[in-house]
Amino acid sequence: MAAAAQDRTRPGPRWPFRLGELCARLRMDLQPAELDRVRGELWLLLNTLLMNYLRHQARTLRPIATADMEDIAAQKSLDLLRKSEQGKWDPSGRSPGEITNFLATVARNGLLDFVRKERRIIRPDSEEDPDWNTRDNVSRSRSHEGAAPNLRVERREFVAVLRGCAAELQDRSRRVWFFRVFLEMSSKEIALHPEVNLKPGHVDVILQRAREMVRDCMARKGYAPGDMPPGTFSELWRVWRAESVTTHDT
Amino acid sequence: MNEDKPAGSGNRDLGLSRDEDLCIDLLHDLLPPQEREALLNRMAADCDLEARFRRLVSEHERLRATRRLERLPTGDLVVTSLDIAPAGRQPAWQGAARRTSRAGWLVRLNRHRGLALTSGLAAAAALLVLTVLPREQTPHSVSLLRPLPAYEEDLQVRSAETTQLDPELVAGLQAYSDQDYRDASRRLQKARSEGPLETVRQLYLGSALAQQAHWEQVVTVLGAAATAPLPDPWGSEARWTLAIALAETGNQVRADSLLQLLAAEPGEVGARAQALLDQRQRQAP
Repeated sequence: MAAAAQDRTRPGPRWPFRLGELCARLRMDLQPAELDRVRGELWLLLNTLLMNYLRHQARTLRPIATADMEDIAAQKSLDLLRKSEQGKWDPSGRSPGEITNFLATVARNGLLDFVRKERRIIRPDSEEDPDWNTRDNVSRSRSHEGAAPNLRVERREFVAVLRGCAAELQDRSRRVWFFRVFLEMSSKEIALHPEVNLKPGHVDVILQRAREMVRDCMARKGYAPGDMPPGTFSELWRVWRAESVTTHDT
Repeated sequence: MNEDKPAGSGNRDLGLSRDEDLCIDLLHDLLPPQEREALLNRMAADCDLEARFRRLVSEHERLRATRRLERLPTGDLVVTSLDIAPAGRQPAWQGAARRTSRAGWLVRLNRHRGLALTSGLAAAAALLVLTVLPREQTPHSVSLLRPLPAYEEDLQVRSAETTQLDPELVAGLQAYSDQDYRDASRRLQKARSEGPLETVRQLYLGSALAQQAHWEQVVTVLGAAATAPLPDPWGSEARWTLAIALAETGNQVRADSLLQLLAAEPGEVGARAQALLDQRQRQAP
């Protein structure tokens, strides 16, 4: 833990250190429940990282469908998890640069294997965010602060009202509503989510009621759904992620 | 506005940005509070950065929803993918559950039970696999199980058709639906039923016992019922549960036979069984 705390004071990304910590913990003599928790966290982190590297590599090498990238990321994450448990892969003690290079290579190899096997090349989805990995595009980032000086105040007011309205929903209904409205997850995906665990039909019913409740509540306070300003997601995520973490910890 | 300067991580050559690293750190709760707040404030003022993070969160939650990291009785790790594609690409057991009236399958079950039970057992007996599942008692086996669908709707149908319905059976199924497996198994063991409802009782009792890792009892209860020609998800889940129980109780050859049968079936349970068999084949000397 001391090492982890020290790592957090360093500049640069934290995730390489967390990756090393988790891999080291895997080889400790942990209780089954704790071992499962570590495995789960490591697997999710590896998936996130490999998806990002795959997205970058796919733009550079061959564009493939997002679903295929998800499959590759899931399989490669599992491979790395197994190797880590068997002591065949140990990123702890490696520099962040070495770790990122290694993961980028894993993603690249996974992508090339996929292309060779499937011989399936599709056009990149134009709706995909094209700016994610390219430094050049960062300078083109749009700042809505500059465009509308009052937007920050308006956003805070809007988010405060929206939070108040959403707070009237039950926890699970609020989660369903958030997953659909902000993360655009399908009813089936929401239904399968471990924090929801319902039938898709039930999700649809909850969602419809939640939307009506939020819309009516917002209308009573003088807002309409179309008023939702940029920045609403990050404001709400800040609050609800904290709630979610608290819920899981208790 | 954007602090997209190299951070000494070595990943700049690969075209990844500092913002991307920060978003990953934020998503996985790795940032100190001050940096987290600063990033969220910056994000709230930068639509592109917010959109990137939003997509990252969305991918993360979709992954949690649609894939499960699981540990097999052999100790190996597998990822189960839950197919969420619409219409024809649903998991077989989900589709079957929607397409088939649950009361309806009881009728069909009664009609064809004798013939299919015989053929199912014959097929199981014919498929003797030489590979042996290494026995490893593990509490994780329970995590491989899937609960059966709730049965209240069917009981309502049955209660209209049947004059006598044992209250213990109703209460047991309700307890199962509430995931109170201890109470469910206690009540279902006491319940009296006959005909198709006896098969229902055995299936839910076996599943409830398996959820408590009472493997020997699971083998006794599901030994006959699980090989009957039941519609999915009841049939495939019962056979899967029985295979796990057989492996846990040292009946490796029978477990293998059942897994081979399951692996030949389409759907999510078949994929599960195939993954388990593949894993063991890789481990075979």
